[in-house]
Amino acid sequence: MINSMARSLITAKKYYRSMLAGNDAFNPGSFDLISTTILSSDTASVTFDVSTLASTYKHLQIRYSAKSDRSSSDGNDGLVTRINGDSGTNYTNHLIYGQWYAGSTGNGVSAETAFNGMEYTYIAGTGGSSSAIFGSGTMDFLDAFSTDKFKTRRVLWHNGLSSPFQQVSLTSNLWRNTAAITSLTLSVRYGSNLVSGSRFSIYGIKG
Amino acid sequence: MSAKELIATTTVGAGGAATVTFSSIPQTYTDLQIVYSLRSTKAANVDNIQLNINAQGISTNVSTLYFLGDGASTATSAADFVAAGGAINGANTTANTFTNGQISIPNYAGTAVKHMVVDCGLENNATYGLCLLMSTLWNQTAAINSITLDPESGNFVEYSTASLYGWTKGSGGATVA
Repeated sequence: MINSMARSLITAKKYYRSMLAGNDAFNPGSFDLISTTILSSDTASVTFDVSTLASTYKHLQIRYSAKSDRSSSDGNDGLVTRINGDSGTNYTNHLIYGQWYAGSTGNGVSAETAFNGMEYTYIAGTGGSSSAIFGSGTMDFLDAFSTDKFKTRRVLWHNGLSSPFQQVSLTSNLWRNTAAITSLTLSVRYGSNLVSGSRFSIYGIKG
Repeated sequence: MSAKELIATTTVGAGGAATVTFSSIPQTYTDLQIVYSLRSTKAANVDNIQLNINAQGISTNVSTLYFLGDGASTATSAADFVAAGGAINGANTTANTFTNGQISIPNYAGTAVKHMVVDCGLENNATYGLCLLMSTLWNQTAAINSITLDPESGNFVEYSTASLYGWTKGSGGATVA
């Protein structure tokens, strides 16, 4: 434990440039918050600029609590993520889900091979749910800055609803491009805006 | 200080690798997490990731319960499943595409039997793609000190990566059984 405080006394005539002198190596950790955005008004999209992170981090994670302004009978909206501003049909999406809908439970899968963003993540809309209900999830982008791999994402999410349409899912997404990720933009699929109070936090993970 | 610390990371080089091993795992954390981006040389859509824990042998004392979807249908089973660490892209899937997965191992240093949670997404630019949620039981009470990821049929291809993280106890924390 530190005894360099005593040693650093003027009367000890020793000087240490670091308070770590004589102590165990400092491990700064491997999971760092980069940025959090909490919307103060309804907003069409949220973008994280990650162009400066490649030298420090290997993976990225987004944790969110979000709601759409879409008013629909099933209460849902899609949460779309686009990489580096690419809105071409360069994304492939898969999911498995469990759901409660109209009084019945079930499970299933879906796949789409030419969509214009990473999707199959759903959040609560304004139809059929209270203003206090948000969808939530965790997105992992692995080897986010590699230029040797297409970019993939894995998401565990719940749409936040208890009725009329509740879903929980594991989603897998592919962006068919080997470019390093420089930005991530999140928006809704059917509605116009992410509503006030939606929160998105992005973390850098060393590896 | 972050609650999650990198213990070790492996990037497979040119020529591939038969296995990836994390050994001499420190016993100072509460939980472990393996995060992987892996692809196999197996000439199929999918290869299974077998686990060899504490060098006891491949899939020894391991059983699983899984829920998966393959783009067309779902399946659930409880079995001595060889894919105890997940399922990854084989050579027949879209090029440059690596499975995005993780294995969470709580209380790895405790004295209870060890449960793990695996979730992974095997992407492919086709209807076929695998989403897998699984619990894996290693029916042993010993502390985990090494883990080997071993593709059932192929080798890991170049640029495959796997990282091992430890979740810290915090100032007042302790490992529980």
